[in-house]
Amino acid sequence: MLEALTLPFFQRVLLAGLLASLACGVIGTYVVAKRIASLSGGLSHAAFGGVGLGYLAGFPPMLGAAGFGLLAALVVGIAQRRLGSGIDTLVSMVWSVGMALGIVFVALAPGYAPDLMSYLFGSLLFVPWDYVIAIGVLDLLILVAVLLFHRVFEAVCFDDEFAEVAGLPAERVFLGLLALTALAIVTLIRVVGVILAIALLTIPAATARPWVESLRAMMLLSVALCAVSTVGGLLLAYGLSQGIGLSAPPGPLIILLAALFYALSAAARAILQRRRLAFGPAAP
Amino acid sequence: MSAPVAELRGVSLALGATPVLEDVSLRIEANDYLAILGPNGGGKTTLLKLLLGLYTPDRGQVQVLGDSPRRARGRVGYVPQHVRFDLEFPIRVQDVVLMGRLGRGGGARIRAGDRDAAHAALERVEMRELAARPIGALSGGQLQRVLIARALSQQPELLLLDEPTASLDERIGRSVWELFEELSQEMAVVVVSHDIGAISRYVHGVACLNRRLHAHPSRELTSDILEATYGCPVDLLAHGHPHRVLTEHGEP
Repeated sequence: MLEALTLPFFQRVLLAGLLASLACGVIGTYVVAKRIASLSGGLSHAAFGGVGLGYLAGFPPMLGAAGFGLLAALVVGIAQRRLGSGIDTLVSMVWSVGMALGIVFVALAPGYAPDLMSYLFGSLLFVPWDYVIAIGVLDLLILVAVLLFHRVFEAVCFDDEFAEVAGLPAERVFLGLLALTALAIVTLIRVVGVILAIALLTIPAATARPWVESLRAMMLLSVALCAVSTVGGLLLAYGLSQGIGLSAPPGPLIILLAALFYALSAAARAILQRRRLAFGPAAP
Repeated sequence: MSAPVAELRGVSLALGATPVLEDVSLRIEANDYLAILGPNGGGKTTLLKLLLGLYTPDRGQVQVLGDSPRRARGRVGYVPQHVRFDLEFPIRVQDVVLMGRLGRGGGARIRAGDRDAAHAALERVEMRELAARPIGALSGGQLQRVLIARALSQQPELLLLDEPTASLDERIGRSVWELFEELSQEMAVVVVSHDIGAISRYVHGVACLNRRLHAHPSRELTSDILEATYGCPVDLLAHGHPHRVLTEHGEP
């Protein structure tokens, strides 16, 4: 299975996966800490509308995905404050309307129908170089924004009301964070697809959260977990096809691995907790 | 008389179709230590949010530190109810307190003065030795103190506290009531609570709020005023302090 690492095409695939893990772990940390997983799910599905529009109008589908994701981020972000708990309904509308638009656009597009499955569940094995470069550029954008504004993002995630009364433009900061989330999702579309993107964004971060004491540490651990799941899923897919001739798509395998790590981590927490109860509090 | 720290004049506000505040007028002077009491849903938190510029009144005027509440932001310290916090959020005490410094320009960078102010604020609430603790490891009362320290690190001229009695069961050092009294020598302090036990002997004035405001120059409460506020007869049993209150029995 490991001989795959020496193949040039596989190295490109790995590079794409690792670059996407970077955006995924960093932004996933905010998504999980602020508890906006379903909102981010809405953004990811809305992005599919842009993929469809790309096919229809003849521009790169990923550009469409970014455009639709950012537009959805703006709509949902602005509505968030004004709707309160009603935001839930709006998010599910954005979610399904994005998907519906994508399907309709693709149906209207001339020529042969593209393989929609690859956008829904990822198709990392056929990732072209220009897409790898695009992920790299998005990574750079996300990392620079986070390096500059981490304290503000953290404050708004922890307590947006206080951030606002302390004098921060809390709503604009939140919109910025959603925009970064939309971009991180675009990096994941080729890796796991629009349907599974939200899983890779949230599962590694949720696995990391109970083990850390700061968002920075949570980001590092999430990136590592993302990377291990992605590389593991790719190797597993390769091994299955070489070993027993099964062609299992890597995207779902990546998600299943991430979920397995979550389950193991939760079990480890439970065991540690029981020990602590049995032997009294640990010495400081 | 000098300009008030904050003033509400004839303020009315409805949230949706529900009138929450009606014709409320209130003056907060420098170094005041004021308690605002009232039943849940009586508009106490709304009143604080008006002072913070999170709500705008339908009628009437709100002035804070000689300006609109929005423009006064950063000079007003706010301690929200600690129960709404997510204790799974991975963050350390010192980083929560540093958030109080974010509004002072300079954006996301931490400057030397910020750390000093944060440490001084933690010192003040006797939480300095817990600065590196994650908030998930704190008791309710400790978290409350961290939130007070966060507001103090703003070096505010007006301090607004929402239900700070919620978790003051533990006695770490001196009581927070003494702390508030001490703070009122540097800033105006307003405490909002549904719990009449919140009025300690230190409070300078009491106002009762149930959509309408009934203000008192002193901290002496009369049953008439409580009855007007709570909408039912209330007995005051004053065993020194804190006061105890029993509602009249017989009514569901």
